[in-house]
Amino acid sequence: MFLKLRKKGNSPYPSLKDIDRMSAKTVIELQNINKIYQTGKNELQVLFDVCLQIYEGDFISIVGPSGSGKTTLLNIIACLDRPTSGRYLLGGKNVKSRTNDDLSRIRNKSIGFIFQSFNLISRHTAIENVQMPLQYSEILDKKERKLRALECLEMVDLTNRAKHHPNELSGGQQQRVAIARSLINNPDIILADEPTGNLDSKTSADIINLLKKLHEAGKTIIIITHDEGIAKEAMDTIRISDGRII
Amino acid sequence: MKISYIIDNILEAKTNLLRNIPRTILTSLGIVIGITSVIILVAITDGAKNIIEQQLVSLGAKTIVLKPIGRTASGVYRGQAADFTQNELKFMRQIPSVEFVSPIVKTSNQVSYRDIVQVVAVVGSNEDFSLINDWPTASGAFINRIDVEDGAKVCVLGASVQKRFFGAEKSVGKQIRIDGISFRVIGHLTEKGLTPGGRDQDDFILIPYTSLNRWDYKGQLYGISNIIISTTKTTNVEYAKFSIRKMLREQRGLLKDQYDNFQMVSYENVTKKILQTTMILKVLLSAIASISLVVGGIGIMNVMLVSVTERTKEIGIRITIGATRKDIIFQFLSESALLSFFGGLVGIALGYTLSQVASSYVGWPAIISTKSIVAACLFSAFIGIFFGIYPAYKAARLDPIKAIRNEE
Repeated sequence: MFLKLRKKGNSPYPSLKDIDRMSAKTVIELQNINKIYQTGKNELQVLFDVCLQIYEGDFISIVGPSGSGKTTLLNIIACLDRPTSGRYLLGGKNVKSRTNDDLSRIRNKSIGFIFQSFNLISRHTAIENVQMPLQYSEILDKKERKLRALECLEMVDLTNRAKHHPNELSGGQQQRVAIARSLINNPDIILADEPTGNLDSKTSADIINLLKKLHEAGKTIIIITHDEGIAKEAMDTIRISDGRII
Repeated sequence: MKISYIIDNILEAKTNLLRNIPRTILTSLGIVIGITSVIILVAITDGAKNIIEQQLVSLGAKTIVLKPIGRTASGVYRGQAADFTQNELKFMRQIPSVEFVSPIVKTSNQVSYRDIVQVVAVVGSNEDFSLINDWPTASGAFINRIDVEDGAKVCVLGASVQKRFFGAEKSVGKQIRIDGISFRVIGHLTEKGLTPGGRDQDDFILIPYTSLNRWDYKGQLYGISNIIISTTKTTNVEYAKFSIRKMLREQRGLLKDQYDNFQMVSYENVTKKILQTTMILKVLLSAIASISLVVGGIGIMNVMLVSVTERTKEIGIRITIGATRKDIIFQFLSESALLSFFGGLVGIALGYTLSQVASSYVGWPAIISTKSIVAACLFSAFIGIFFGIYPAYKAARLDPIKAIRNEE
């Protein structure tokens, strides 16, 4: 059940882009992914035969009611979780045989994360939070780390808050710090799990605009949301219900 | 692993520990107490050992006495008794474990000063005599190497001789006659008193052994009948004896089946036993003190486990954005090692201060060696790492998906 690329009437993107995408490289490919959770003697299947193909430069939203399996799907795409069965190719390579530490390195280098609850480390300042992924890359030079972090903070327009701790920032600012953090290693893919869930509508719009900018800069963006309005901003929407893509 | 990676982790650990200073202090208190008590006990027992060693040395623990007689255990004399020669004396000085060599030639002669005439024991020796016997002069100088080389007509008086011939009068610079020959007094020795057997140790005149031989025109030369040797260390006595025996047997051309024609007397076995006892005491006391280090280590483990639970969300975030298991383990190990190392440093400082206080109570110096400081530092860091392994391992095994949902 491959995802059909449907064009929506109110999509801001012209159909020409869809044609462009056909020739683009596949970055994420899920083939018959099943996920079964084992809780004691009970088995709970969360994903059923999910097939999905995402191209380089896509901006995809995943919508579905809570408990539909969309977070599980995102976790699998993020290499945080492993499918019970099926193949997951990231950048054309099968993820199955990789060790957890390999997956950590992949997440570090090629995936940026944005969460609903921002997930900044509260005792670190904004700039320290932004730098954190570099701690796990080979970049160990202090000056370079700082420079890159400042660059990323500039992208989200927060250079003046670099020395502030998360609790001194508003929700929208915290989320922008998180976006800066997701960009620090210049990843190809950005995964956003309800990035506007904790924000009011105005700041939500700011965040979405930021994501759109990143998309224009060539990033592949996958966003989970409840908000149909936000889902519509994406090029395409995947609807998921009871562990199946519909 | 790059050094900057380690430094990074240690700096981060430092920031973490500084965030909750009361907890850091309370946690490291166990290590502080442990290291303090180990340092104090080692310092005090080392000081005691040092004092005991000094006392043993003054009792002759470093001394070997050579006599020109060989005999078997059954008391039967074997071999030709032979005096020691100048050459043998020279070779003895060259043995590395030997510090001082002093020949002893004993005679007794008529000694006169003004109207006092008495027969007094005259001992011929060299400049090492005073050092080996730890016997300084009360006034004036002791004979020196040049006096010995020249066979100078100088003498040093024992305290009793000084009293009998001069009383309270100054003796240095005066001339006395020994067997009719004039000797200049250059000093007199401090008083040693009687031996346990009641013999007066101070009743003799000491002159260079070379002048004793030269002046004796009677044709009968005094051989070197005894040699007193002191070794560089108390532990060297056995080794020095071996070297001396080998040298003497070679010099005298003794065959394998021939008995020694000399005898060596020393007390290294007694010394060894006594020093062993102090060593056992030291090990025992440090072992008892080490128990508190283990308790301190468990305290660290406990707090690190709490810290892992508290920081579950942070660990989840870190793993999500790319930390490997190794990174997480290293982060927590750095923290526990630093915590314990800090405790160790405070413990050393406290131990140093308190052992000075303790030494004034017990009445002997407390000795803190660099070795014990380095050992304390390393051991405290080791405790931190050892007891940090389990919490760090637990942190690294967290499932990032579950961990990140944990509320802080």
